Amino acid sequence: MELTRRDATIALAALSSGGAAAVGLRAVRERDDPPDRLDDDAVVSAMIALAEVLYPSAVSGVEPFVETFVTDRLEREGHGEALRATVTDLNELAVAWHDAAIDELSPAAREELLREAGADVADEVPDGTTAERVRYFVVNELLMALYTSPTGGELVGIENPQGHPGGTDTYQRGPPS
Amino acid sequence: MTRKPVTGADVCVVGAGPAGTIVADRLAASGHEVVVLDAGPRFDPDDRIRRQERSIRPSFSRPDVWDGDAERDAYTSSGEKGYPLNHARVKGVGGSTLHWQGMVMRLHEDDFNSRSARGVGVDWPIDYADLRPQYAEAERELGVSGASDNPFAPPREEPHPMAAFPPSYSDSLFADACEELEIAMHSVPNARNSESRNGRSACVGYGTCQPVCPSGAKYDATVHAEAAERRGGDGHRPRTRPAARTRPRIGRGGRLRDAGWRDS
Repeated sequence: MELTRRDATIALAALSSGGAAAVGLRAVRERDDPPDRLDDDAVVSAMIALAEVLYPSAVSGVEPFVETFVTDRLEREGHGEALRATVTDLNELAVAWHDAAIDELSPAAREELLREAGADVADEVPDGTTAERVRYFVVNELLMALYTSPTGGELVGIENPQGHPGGTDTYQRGPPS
Repeated sequence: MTRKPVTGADVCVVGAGPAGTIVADRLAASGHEVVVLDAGPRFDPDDRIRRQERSIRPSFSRPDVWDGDAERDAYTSSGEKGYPLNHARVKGVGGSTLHWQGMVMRLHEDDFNSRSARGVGVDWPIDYADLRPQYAEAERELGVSGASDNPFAPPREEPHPMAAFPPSYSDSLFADACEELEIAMHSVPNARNSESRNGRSACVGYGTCQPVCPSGAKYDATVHAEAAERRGGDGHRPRTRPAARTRPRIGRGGRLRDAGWRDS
């Protein structure tokens, strides 16, 4: 089942303002980020790498979907900086424990990293511990993007996932036979 | 919003929920200067999409969606049963309709005469027939979508203002089961637009009526807070004021002397 940039745009429209405006143009990067933060390209690359192990194997088209979604979320006031900081922290753990940045790790190592960081068992807390923030800004962020998009909804047999304005006629359709 | 004291207002409405704002709207329409006090803020409609994300993410509780504040909203329960009041209410302009589902069934005829009809409760001094015109008027104000398919509903003179939403796929599954078990199944009138009406969107299917409708298709009392404002000419501009506690003071003879507020 292929995810598209359109899926990301629709998920963004449900979750933030200005989703449509972000399509097709990578926003100008802020260059005055604190030096200890990953830049936005590196955050996007890390999130794509993590989505590849978080998303079900039936999903394809992860890269353009996550790139569109995360690029917009990084622009979002407050949220973007916390997302950047959390991925930076996780990347530091990747370097410390696996001697490589997140997007250079094998898929197996990326999955191991998320577990080692405790993100598989932590509850999401936006201002919590590293494990809780990884759960919030990485794991649940990416899962929410997927499952508020039409393709993600279809994947689990929900024609109109919560948060997606798919119109009331979608409620009248049964699951695809 | 204006936050300075108002002198000489004709009417002070305490609470900007559906009752308060509809009353404010009617009074403003007839030329009265109205002040509305509410214990919570006036929310920015553009923030609803972010509130919806809070409603989806597990780290936010129901009161978080509309900025509930446990300290401001402190309450006590007497008796053995607790009641999760702060999960049931929203403080702010619009009140608890901001997160309600919008189901608006008329009371049954027997509900007005519960003692006689059922042997419990009391008989009220009014009957369904007395309220019937008001029900119809309220349904027009809120914008109600409904069908006349409920065999248990009290009689109505005219159809609902909007057609009912078509049955969902899952409704069809229940319909088969109910038919087999000989259980009557019917729709429920809903204060949610099945078509665009009075400048408000038709439902687009976000699926988050409770606790937040980003499209505005579901009725909430901000509709009438805004309508009341639009009524206001230069001299009759309704104003809302956030306040932590409203303190109506009752003077001699049971008349309201004044109503104060404490800023939150």
